[in-house]
Amino acid sequence: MPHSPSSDPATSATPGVPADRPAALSVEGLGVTVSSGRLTAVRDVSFTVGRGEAVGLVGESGSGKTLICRSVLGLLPPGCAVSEGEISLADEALTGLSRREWDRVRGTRVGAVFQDPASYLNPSLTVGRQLSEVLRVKLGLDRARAAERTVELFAAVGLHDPAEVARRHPHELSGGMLQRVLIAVAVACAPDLLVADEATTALDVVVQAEVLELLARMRAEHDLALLLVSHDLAVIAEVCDRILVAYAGELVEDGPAERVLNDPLHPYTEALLRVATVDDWERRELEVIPGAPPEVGARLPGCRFADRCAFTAPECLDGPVPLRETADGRRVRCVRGEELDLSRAGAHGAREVAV
Amino acid sequence: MSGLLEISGLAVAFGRRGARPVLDGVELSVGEGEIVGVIGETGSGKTTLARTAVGLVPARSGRVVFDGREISGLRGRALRAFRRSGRLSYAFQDPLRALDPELTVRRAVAEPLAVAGDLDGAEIAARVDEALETVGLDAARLGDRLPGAISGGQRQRVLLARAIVTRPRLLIADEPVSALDASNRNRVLRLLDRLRTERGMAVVVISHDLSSLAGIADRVAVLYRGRVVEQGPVREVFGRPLHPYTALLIASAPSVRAEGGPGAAALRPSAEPPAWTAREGCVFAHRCPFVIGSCRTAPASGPVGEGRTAACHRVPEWHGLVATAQGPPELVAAAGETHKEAGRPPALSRTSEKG
Repeated sequence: MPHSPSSDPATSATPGVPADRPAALSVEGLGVTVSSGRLTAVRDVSFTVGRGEAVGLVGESGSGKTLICRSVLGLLPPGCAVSEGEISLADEALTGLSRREWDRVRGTRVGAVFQDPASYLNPSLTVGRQLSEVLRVKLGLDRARAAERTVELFAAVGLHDPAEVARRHPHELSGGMLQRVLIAVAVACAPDLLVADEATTALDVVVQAEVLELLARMRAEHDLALLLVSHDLAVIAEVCDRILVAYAGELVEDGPAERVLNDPLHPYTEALLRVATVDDWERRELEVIPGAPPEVGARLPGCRFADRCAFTAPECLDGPVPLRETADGRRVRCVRGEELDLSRAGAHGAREVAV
Repeated sequence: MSGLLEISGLAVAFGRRGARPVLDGVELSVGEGEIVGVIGETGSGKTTLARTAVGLVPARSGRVVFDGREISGLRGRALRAFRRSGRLSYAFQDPLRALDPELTVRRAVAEPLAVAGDLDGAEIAARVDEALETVGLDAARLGDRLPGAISGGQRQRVLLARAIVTRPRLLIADEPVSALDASNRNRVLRLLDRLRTERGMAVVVISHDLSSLAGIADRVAVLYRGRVVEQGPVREVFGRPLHPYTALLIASAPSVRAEGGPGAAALRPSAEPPAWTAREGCVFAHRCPFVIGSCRTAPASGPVGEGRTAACHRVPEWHGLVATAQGPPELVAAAGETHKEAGRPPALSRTSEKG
């Protein structure tokens, strides 16, 4: 078991900070195609992550959330490609980078943590060697300095007895320890942005809480921007300032976490909140969202959620629905939007969500 | 009261003699039509408990009694006959790996009946359609597909259809919802609840996800390193945990943590554990912030109040220790109520006397 990182309540670090800081990441009109360009899986995705901001991207399987974050990392699987739009990190445009340029950006400007840490580490090298290699290649440290820095970084991510851990091979460490090693690798070169794709999904709940605390602490200490991708709203609610909701390849809602959770604007967000357990486990009725999301790349006349939505009106099917800004600076992709009172519709009794 | 399934003093060990047992002193009782949740982290012995209960793993000591018949002693032909009877069925954890990729949905669901050998082809076909309908799958549309051609949620339901086609009196479902998104998770949990209501079928749900158990279980048992450290009605266990490990689990789970309850950090040790915790004593001592000298003697599981058990020497006082550090209203109240509820000092002190 990993040693607990620290007893300070790092998780309480500043949710709800105004988003008027410079962008660490900006994504504009992103489209991603799959099946060698035959199907469009992600369309018209625009968002920014401010410096030091934690943004959560939530959605069901098939919502395109993983494709979005893989695009940001330049790590789309074979057959998938960015077909439209611009992605930039602070001032540097990422779209159209060569492989060599991506290798420079990844690790130094943007770090990443994934669901299955073991498959991102070389099983035949010690974890310390793998981190010091990164430090030598990316930062040009010499062998001795890299080894020293490795131990410091392992200590910083809360690994107990870091010098000893550095001498271990991946199979000798637990899942939570491996995830800490990967976080150490991800932050080793002080990136501006950390992308965590379902980084705590495979972990036991106690370890998950420790890793979330660690991410929050890394963010506070290094002014690190965080893009946290998860299917679990409770996890996102715990860490994030702002929430993006993805459905069938589009963003359908974007707003401050507390507002999105307590007063959703999009009927899909409201449905997600109804089926999720966020602070209301005593409720016994188990609700489901009727129907299933459309097939990847399905061509639909209007709103992509229309056939599962309880509020569908004829105008919803007239044409593609744009993501529009509301008076208070939130964004929603729904033609009915503010006329629906989803905060009440969703709240069977009081749904108070702690953020 | 004697339940449908009675497990007592169960110990299971793999490998060499003298190896640390995977399960030790496990007591679990499941009544007719009851839903019991078994919760614990990776490696706590949840799956081994399930596999022992259905006779797939031999017990080293202790008894497993199902419907008045001891099955822990069955061997060879008698064991096979019991397993094939399908009165106690087991739904495996990973539907993709547990389903034969070359058997169609219909044939996979028919297999347990074909093995039992009591029914002819037409009767089996009728029962298969009925089971698929029960789990909400369209037999006409999906019956002839292979597991690879249906979605994850559908595969999970095929696995359940296969487990209930023999009309068992008890179903043991191993992580039935862990691979599903929230909506499909609720769909499967609702199905289990309905089978209990309509058929009086008892269910043991094994899960590492507290919120899914909170939705349907009547009682939960918390496993830690092969021991049941706490057991009781789900609302009481989640609302007012008696064991420090349960409290840590709940504080770590954003979906079930009580508002104002202690954070996970308050329930982790701030100092190094005593050296003896690596070798002996309470299984949780090495991670327990409340460890004292008497924890060096492993606490027995003892009754605390109505229908609850806990294996902790410090049940009466640890809540107060959290309260002084953090002042969480929930646990202060809980500690008070535990004393009141128990109402009989002998019950409370039983665990401490053993120490």
